[in-house]
Amino acid sequence: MIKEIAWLIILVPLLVSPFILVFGRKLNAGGGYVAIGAVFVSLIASILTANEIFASGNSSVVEGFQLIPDFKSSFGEIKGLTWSLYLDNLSITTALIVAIVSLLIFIFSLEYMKGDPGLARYFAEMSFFVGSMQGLVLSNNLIMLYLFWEFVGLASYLLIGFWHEREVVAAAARKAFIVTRIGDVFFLAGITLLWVKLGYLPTVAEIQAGLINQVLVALGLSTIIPLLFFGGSIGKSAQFPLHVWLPDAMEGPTTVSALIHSATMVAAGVYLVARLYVMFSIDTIPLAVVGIIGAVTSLYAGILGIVSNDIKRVLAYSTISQLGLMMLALGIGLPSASMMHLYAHAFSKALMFLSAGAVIHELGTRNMLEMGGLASKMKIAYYSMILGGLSIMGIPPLSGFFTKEPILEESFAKNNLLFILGILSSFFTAIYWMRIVQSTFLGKARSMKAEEVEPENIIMKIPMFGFIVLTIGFGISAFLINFPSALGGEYMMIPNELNAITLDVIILLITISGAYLYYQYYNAHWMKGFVDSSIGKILYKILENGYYFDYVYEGVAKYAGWILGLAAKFFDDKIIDGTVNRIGQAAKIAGNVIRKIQTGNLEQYIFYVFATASFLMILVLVFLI
Amino acid sequence: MTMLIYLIVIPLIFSIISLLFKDKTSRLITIISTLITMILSIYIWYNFLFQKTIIKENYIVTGLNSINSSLYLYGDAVSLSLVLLTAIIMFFVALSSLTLIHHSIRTYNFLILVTQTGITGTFLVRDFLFFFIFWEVVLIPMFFLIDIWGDERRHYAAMKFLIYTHIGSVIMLLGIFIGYAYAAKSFSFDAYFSNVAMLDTFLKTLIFFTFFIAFAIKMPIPPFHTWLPDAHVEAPSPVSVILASLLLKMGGYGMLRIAYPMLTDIANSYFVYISLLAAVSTVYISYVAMTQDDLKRMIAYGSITQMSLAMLAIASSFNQLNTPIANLLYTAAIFIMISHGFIIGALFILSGVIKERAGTRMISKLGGLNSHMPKFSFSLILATLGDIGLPGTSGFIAELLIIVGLIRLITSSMLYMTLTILILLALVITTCYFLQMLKRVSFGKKKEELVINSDATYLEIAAPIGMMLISIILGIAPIVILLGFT
Repeated sequence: MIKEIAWLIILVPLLVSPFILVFGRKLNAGGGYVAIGAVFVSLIASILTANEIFASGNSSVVEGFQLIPDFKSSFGEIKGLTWSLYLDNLSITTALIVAIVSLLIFIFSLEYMKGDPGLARYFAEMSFFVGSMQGLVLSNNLIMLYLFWEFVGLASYLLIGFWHEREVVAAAARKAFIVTRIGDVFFLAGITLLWVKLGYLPTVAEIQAGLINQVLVALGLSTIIPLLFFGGSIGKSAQFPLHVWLPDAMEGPTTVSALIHSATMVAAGVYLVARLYVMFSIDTIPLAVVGIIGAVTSLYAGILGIVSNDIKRVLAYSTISQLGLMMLALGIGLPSASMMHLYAHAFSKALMFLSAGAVIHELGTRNMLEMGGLASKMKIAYYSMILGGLSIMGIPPLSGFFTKEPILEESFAKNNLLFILGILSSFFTAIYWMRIVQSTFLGKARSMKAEEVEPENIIMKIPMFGFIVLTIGFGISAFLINFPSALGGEYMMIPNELNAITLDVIILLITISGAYLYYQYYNAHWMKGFVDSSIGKILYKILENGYYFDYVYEGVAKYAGWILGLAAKFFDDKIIDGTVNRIGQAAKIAGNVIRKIQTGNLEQYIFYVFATASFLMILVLVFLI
Repeated sequence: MTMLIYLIVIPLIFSIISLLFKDKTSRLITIISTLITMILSIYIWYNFLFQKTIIKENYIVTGLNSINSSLYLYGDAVSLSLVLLTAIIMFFVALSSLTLIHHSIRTYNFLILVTQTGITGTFLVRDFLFFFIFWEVVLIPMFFLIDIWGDERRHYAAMKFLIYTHIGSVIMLLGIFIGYAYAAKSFSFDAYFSNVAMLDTFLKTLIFFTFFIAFAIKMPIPPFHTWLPDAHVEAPSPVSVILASLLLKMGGYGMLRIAYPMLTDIANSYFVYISLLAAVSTVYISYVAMTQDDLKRMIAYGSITQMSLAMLAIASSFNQLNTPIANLLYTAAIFIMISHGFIIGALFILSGVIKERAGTRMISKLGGLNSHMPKFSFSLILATLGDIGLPGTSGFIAELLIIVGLIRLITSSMLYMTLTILILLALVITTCYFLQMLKRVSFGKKKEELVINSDATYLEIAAPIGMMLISIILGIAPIVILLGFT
């Protein structure tokens, strides 16, 4: 009985969505309470199911009806697919976390989005998103997973483009959809290749149990298939080189950024690798690729985070960087650490985003240059940003410490290069965090808006409190009950050897020095000198433009595509259709010529008859002779 | 159970009845007629799913015995599913005609019901004489439908449509007669299938190409496609739906049912050319579609892309004849056609609605409709997402089936690898231009010159939403159709 309840986790938010879309306008808060109710039901259902799964210690498959039937013939069979769910520690924990984070952010939205004319549409789309994300997490069937994967992409597109009257917003939404779609193509290619080479599509349960490992090796697919799947992850989790959409996605409402673009959807790529970890670890190459791309992305994005003036953009780069770290963890053999960091990051980053959201809501701007001095007036937001950032930086005793340290330690043990990239990434994380705190909350108010700000509303404070508790409590409680090992894979415990402790201290020092460095820059002059020099300016420009990646992508996409399109249109209209038209014209001309024979003149007709008859007689005579 | 004949006769009878009454009653009669055929065809399909027996009804017409022809109706999975599509689409056509057709209603209803007779007949008969009759029966009403109720360039478009497709029909007639005279001595499909295979290669190639060209014009496959954009664009929207959702499927059906099974070895010897033609067409036409400013024209070109995809599935299916992939690809072709029928129907109706409400179909002139015409915009987004194959809609299942079918073969030859890459490229391009269109039309700011009377009414979007609802049902539970094929 409990097992069927799991369907509610997905279906309730999903089915409530069209209801809110149609009737939302007439309801209180545009249907916001309905949406919150739906997510709450999803949360209860996931708690009940989680209870069952943790208690029994077994994983469980829940089956629905058939999606695609089996194709039989006398020459063999291609098996079909069924809608089904896979419930184990990993999937149900993630579903639980998604539900908790969504609930808190929905509550925050009540105040943040209040008064917006499209409120019903907002809650409908958010509800649709939550249902789809849960579907993605709990799917047993890879096509079903892909379906929900696309759905969350769709929800992201609609929500980024929520205020679509503005050109830049609509463009950002489209960019997000298209870039992630590129990754999705690889993902789908992987799924279909797997399906046809094996003759059937293995379920997540079967992959998790390692049932297809031998077959994959025998078919030579153990490298290509995981890499294709990872292609999807690169797009969805904004890893290099498909990272360009996430900073622009900040055009959406901040609650959207908090839920989708930091805590949940972008984590789907990480989840995919963790979910299919057994398949990824058959061969050494896939995970190596995952790790390298993760580490590179982590540093690359971390550096970019220090130059933007848009508070949300900085957080976006931070998210990309942390996702890179999660990928790094997967690459070096710590899937459980990666997931733990995913959960800790979800809480911490959502906290930071909500803090930014409160500031943006009160000030009406995202530009940090217009902020300042808010610490005394917006206390909860201030503490939230501090705690969230410290957690992300990995400062004990916050959650981030318990989840980040194992990753860095293991990478130190396994591969020095990855460790260095990871450490540098931490360093830059500290810099941009300090920059946010300094520019937004400390110092003097730099604009009228900043001076006249009011403290946050109670409805916005409650979710922030919730995340503060989670940020502080999650790491330490999970460590105490030894939870991470339940997620599978190895988990490096907190050090008790001298070497490991030294390492930790060094990591912490480097991180803190980053923050201190920025503080010095802000207040001292010698750093300013470097930044303002010509080299500094060039570097700054490169960073500001995201290493000019966007220009390249847009150029290729726009011009190559458009020119080919025009060429094709010309060919179709003038040449192919032109031929058709010319045939018609030829018929017309021929008709006109022949029409001249129809004069109506009797004498002329008699002449034609006589001439033809004579001609024929001559012919006959010629042939006879 | 002699049900199939009713599917043909009912629209015919009602067509004449609808001519006798005044406008409002005539409309009601048309709706009733299409509703009856829809319910009947759903019932027949439902029975077929569980009994899996092919329905055969043979009606002997005295006088035709001497030339070995009879009205032989054959209902198997292919025919019945397409007949189901026809009946449901015609219902929505009648529904949308309520708001989009404003004059000479009786004649209009008469013509569309006769067209329904012709299309249903084409899908059901298994005798070449009657096949040709029903095939031709479709052309004349369509000509008048475009010529009388169409847009500015309707005369050109109607004439082009008639002449172009008629040339194809005449070529097919040549093939039919050659087959009759030299091999079959009877008009029934079975006689042709068993006897034509024994002719010499020259005649077989000739017959194959007559049929191939006729169906290629109808499907259409580039370079025989240029009648389609004009015909679809100038026709009134409900008629565009008939053209795109049903007539094109007649071409696909012909390929599946006649050209390929009858002359498989000839077809396979040209497989490389035909499949490359289909695959390159999908990419080429996607590029052409990308540059269109007229929404309806863009949708029309999108139609060609989908039908080229179906052609590729058909050709590949017969190329892989003795493997389980054959059945998969064959089913994929039909599912593509059915899925496309519903989605494109929704899109065409919406393009008609926007012309009525905003006075223009030009993408460059529209904008911001999400705020000013929310009902319309929602329907447009839904239909567009269906066309780009979003999971959850039938479009995704259709793409999935063909890609699953083809990917298995990519390691076996470079050809399949090329075909698959081309299709994926076409899908990406399609996604891009449709989203671009959505960005300009639904989102963004409304231009000041644009004058919108009001949002689309519920009646106006009833047909598109209904068609998309069916597409979503097929996207979640495609087994409803697929079960008939396995």
